[in-house]
Amino acid sequence: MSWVDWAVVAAYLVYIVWDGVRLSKHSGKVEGYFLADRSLPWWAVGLSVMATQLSAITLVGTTGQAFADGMRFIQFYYGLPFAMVILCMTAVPFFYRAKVFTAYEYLERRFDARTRTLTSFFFLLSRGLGVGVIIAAPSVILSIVLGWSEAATVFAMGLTTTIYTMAGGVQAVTWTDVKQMVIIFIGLGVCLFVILSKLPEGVAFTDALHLAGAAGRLTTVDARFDLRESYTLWSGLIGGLFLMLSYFGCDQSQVQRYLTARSVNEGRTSLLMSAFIKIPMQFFILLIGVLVFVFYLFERPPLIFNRVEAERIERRESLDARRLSVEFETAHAARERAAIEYVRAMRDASGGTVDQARRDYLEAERAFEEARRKGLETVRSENSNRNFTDVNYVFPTFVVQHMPIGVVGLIIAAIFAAAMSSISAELNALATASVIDIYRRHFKPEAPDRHYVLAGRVATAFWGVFACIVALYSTSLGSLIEVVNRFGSFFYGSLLGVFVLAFAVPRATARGAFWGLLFGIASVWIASRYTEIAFLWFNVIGCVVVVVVGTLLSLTDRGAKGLAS
Amino acid sequence: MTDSPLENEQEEARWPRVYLAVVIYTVALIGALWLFSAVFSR
Repeated sequence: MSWVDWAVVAAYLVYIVWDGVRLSKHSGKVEGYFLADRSLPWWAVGLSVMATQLSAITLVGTTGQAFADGMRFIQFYYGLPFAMVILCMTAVPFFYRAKVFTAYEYLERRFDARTRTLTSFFFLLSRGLGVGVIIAAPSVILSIVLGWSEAATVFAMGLTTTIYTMAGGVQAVTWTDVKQMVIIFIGLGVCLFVILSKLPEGVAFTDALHLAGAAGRLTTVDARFDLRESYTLWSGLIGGLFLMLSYFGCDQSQVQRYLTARSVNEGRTSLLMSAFIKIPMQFFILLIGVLVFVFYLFERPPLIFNRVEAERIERRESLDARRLSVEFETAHAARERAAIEYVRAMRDASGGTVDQARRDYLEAERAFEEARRKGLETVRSENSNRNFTDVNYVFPTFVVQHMPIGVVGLIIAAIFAAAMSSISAELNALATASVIDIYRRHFKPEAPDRHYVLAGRVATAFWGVFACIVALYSTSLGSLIEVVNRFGSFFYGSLLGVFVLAFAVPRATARGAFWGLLFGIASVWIASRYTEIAFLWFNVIGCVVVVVVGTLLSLTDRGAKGLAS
Repeated sequence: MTDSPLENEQEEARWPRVYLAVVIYTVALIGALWLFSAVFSR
């Protein structure tokens, strides 16, 4: 990286920390520190909702997935707009009018303290670990770009965010989110423009799309109903709907966003902003990954994008590795020729020639993928790294090697922004649940505001350090985006089930909700352990089991009363 | 908020139309993405 890129990244970091810390003067009271006095406009809350969901994993992981597997991942978001509509009708008015600090606080009013504490505990456990994975993604990038150790990058990233989140509370989180989203939009726009300008002469944008489409990289709707497939139309619409309902309706990191809005209607509008923008935005992020795939049709990609693993293989100078490198280079050259021929044939537009050229291109693509697969297998066996996957390294490597000076810094800053916006919201939510649901509820119910604000700052610091430690272990896991989503799916569906009982089953009792939740989590564990059902369906299983078991148990309760509030 | 009850009622009555618009938009968007995929994957 040139000094210009370093300057861009440094300027971003200094500005965002300064901007967050200066908002600490608005956070002396409990309601100000945790909920911004419920005073924020819908557009700021809406951008914060999007920034919280869009982590560095989304930028790095999904572009890598699009490069390797195409746009199938977009189906994951198809249930989101429908979830937003349901939440606008239910959770937003329920939570807002109940004047709660956390989603789980509502459950005590509806059921009992035990249910509140258990759901809050599961949130703290799953999110505490989840935020560690969110920190791990940018640390992967930095370890490549800067050549630092992963430990140094994890702590640099996590602790920087912890500082301004501690100081400014939710005000700092929201207003830095707004600026971070602007940086992300600019970074993505510039990135798309530069990739398009780097396509070889004679290859237009539509040619690039045909090349990607022929190689199976543009599948956006897979209508097969297969419970073992992670990303299909149905897993997205049904499993995704349940996941998004849980994430936006039961996860404090999102609930806290719209609780800061000025009114119920502004809270609703902020969620609907995501309903309109999320799928198109994700489409463009995936499109960048697809265009990186097309770019590497004409430019020899590294056999292994992870520079550290590639150098370990090279140092061994084994015959297998050298043979593999030659095979890979030959396969790339053949694929490049076939791609050029396919584009020429499409231009000439004579049916038989196009079909033949397409078949040749696909054949060359298969040979290339086989050579690449062998390379990955070599890394796994020779470097004794069975979990190794290369997808997370594709985009950052491309950026550093092929983007112009200044743009590299901008995109690295955008990746930082994506990471920090998610980390800050998660830390803030973890601190809120720790202080409001656990500390104030069970240990110190009566104390002045400044005591709870101090407790909030201490809790933020604790979760920041905890997340950094988790991050150190999660960098060796597979595709990071899947790790986070799989882990979330383990708890989310069951948490959603408890809220469904609270909102929609008037006869539901505290006992039904408590045991229903435990049964739901147990059923998801069994499904993940003993079946091949894809993780998005865990949300459906967890939710349905909680609602069914919770309702049945509630019906057996003597003198079960209806909804109290 | 200091809205009058009448204003609140008018505001509430607006939301079902907004929700319907979101649903129609999403279905159209998925359809457009399918079309995009079909056109370039032939």
